[in-house]
Amino acid sequence: MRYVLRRVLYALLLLAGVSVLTFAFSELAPGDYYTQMRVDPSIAPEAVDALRHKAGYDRPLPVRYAGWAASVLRGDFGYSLAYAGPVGPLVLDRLGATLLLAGSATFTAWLLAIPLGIWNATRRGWQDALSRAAMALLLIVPDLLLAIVVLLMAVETGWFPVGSMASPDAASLPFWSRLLDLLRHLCLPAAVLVIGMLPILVRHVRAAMLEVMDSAFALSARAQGISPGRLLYRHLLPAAVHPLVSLFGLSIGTLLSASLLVEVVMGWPGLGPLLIEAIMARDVAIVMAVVMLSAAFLILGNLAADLLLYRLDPRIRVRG
Amino acid sequence: MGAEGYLRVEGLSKAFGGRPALRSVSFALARGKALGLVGPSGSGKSTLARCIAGFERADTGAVLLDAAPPVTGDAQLIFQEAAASLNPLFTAGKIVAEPLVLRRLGTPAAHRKRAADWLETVGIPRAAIDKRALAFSGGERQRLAIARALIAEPKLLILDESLSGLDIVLQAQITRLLRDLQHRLKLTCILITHDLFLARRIAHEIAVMEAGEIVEHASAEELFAAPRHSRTSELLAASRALALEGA
Amino acid sequence: MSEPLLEVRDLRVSHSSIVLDGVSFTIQPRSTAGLFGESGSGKTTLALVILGLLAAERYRISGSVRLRGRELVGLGERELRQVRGAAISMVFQDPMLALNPVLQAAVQVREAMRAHAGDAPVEPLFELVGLDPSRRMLRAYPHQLSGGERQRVTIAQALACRPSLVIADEPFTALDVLRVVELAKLFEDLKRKTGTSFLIISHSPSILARLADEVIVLHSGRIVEQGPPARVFRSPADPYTIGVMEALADGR
Repeated sequence: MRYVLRRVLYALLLLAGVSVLTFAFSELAPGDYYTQMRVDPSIAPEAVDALRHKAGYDRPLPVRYAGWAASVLRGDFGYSLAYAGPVGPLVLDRLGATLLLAGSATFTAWLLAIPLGIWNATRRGWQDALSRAAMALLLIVPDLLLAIVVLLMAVETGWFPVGSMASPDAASLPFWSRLLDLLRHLCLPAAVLVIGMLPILVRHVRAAMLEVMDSAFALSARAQGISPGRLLYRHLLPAAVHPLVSLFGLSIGTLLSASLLVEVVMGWPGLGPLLIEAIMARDVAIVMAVVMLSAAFLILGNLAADLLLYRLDPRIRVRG
Repeated sequence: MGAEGYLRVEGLSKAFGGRPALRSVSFALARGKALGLVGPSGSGKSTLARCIAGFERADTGAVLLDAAPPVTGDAQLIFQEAAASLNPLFTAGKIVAEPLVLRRLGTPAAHRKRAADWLETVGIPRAAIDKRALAFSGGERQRLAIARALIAEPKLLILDESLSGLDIVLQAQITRLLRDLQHRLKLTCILITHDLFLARRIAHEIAVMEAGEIVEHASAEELFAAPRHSRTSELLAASRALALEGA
Repeated sequence: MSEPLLEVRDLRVSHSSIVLDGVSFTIQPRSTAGLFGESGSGKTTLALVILGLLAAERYRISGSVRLRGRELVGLGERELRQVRGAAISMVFQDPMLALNPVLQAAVQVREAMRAHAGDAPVEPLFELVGLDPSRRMLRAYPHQLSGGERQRVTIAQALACRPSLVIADEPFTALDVLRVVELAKLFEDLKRKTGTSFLIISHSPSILARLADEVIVLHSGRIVEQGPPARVFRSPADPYTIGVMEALADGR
């Protein structure tokens, strides 16, 4: 318990540090939200200045940061100039969509990677080589390229809807149809993400399994006449868990950041498009919120991995 | 300080997280003599060796080698599985000359000559000086480790179970080598082992350790003839039970 | 004389080079055989090939290994699994490595039992090998046990299904002299209580002299000498054995 509390405290300190850095970096980028307006000849410079003053741009950096921090504590999480309102609800709205996409993709990727990795590890020889070549190929293809190719296919064949989370008339449909509609929209972006994640996961599962399969205790268990199935699931897999848990923590950690690019390219209404917009428009508050959220997930992922490992590996949990 | 107390250990104590490993250990070893440090696993032999060699700092007490606290390089320690402590890609010459290189004792040409001399001393042909370590057998690698330990002429040599776990024939050969070297070069050395018979082959005196203390310290003959402590008798009885007839 | 328990005839194993070169010997029921060999002699390969644990793709095996008349060489994996643990079992050299680090010791013994003998309490087995079946012992993970306890756990695994033959690969090598005596007593005890035959592999003649009824000397993949230990070690006939005994005597 004390361990968890300590980790949470560190996490909060880390997040505070990230927020300071992010704020500072976004200041380093030239211009601000009103720069675009300044270029527009129809708007008087005095009006722009007045708006800037109202937004608080004249105040020194630390003061502006403090203002943002206060807003966070209030629950607003900053004020978006573009949307003219608190950032909190905006981000929350999109967060759900991103988690749905990234979460289902990660879950599916792991679900596929474990049996694939085990299968790879148990079949040496040409099947293993072929499988590894295939995974390497998938690894090389950039997510962006994959997304575009998939989009093209979707447009050509018309089997899957392109872009957005639901069809225009979705609200009027009964529950099950709405759900089906959602799943149809989810398929393509999720598939792209899964294909992107799969090769690395499979390789790691395979490597972890190979290591335990070559161990002395595996040989000892075989010498006792234990059947291969039981050997695999009751003896080998539990021992292979250690490196995989760390990887799993990383999966959770990168849950947000992994899907951002795919969302933008494939039109999934999650945090990705929101972030890109905000960056282009210099809407600092939104950028801050999304970056902080990403950082929070990374920290959470690490913590989850540590706690899981603590639970699963007796060498850590029980001091000899 | 005469030759008597060349190595003096006084009141050495060390605990690891509340658990005492050494309890006020004191003894002296004359120059040129070999001490066998014997005891069951967990009795503190390795901890004592590491404190003397300077790898660990004792909590209390002092170690004096030639009337001064030991400086790096004064005491050389050879571990169990010494063969594994050699970089397999290095040549024999490079491995053996390493202490000289590290302490900058002489020119590279001098290093090579010294290394070749030492190879011969430990029974490896001079011509093998440029052979890589992985090309040597386990026993030969053991010899390389010994040459490396002795090339800079340390004041004290400590062997920590270096002979345990070796094939029995190899063990006998290395034992013979060590005994010869000790006699010829008048090495001051400590041999840590749990095998009393092995200790007797090389050492003049034997100290028996139990739970962090030295419970008996006598010349090898005295110890074997008339052991005083129960632990000594126990070890003797076990060693005798395992020895072949005629040992 | 009764039928031998294990009969090995002209066993040849090769890989990139010859590991075993025509090995022949027998082991009688209720007896202890000692295998003397240094590293590189092929002793561990011999143990593994008897149990059919050598990777078939990488090794070429010929010759005969008969267990009570039944040929083991060439048996399929499924049949071999019936033999492993049930008729012949093995105690591996390093108990720390031979035990699964994430499973409790008692669970691993139970798993060994389940392979052929179904579910049964492990306590009697623990007592048989001299382990106190306390709560601590039954719930412990391998890293929480002492070296000696770990070794007894692996011995318990080997005995779990009451095999006729137990092969022990260098069980004494890592032990100090007091533990060696303890373990030797345990083996004598087990031999008496269970009637199991043992094949003890060791490079220590003194231990084999104490425990074995019959000693086999293995050198570079060949058996150069066999017989009662007193004869083999005291009056060796083969040059290799003579060399070994001389080297040992010389050191004293």
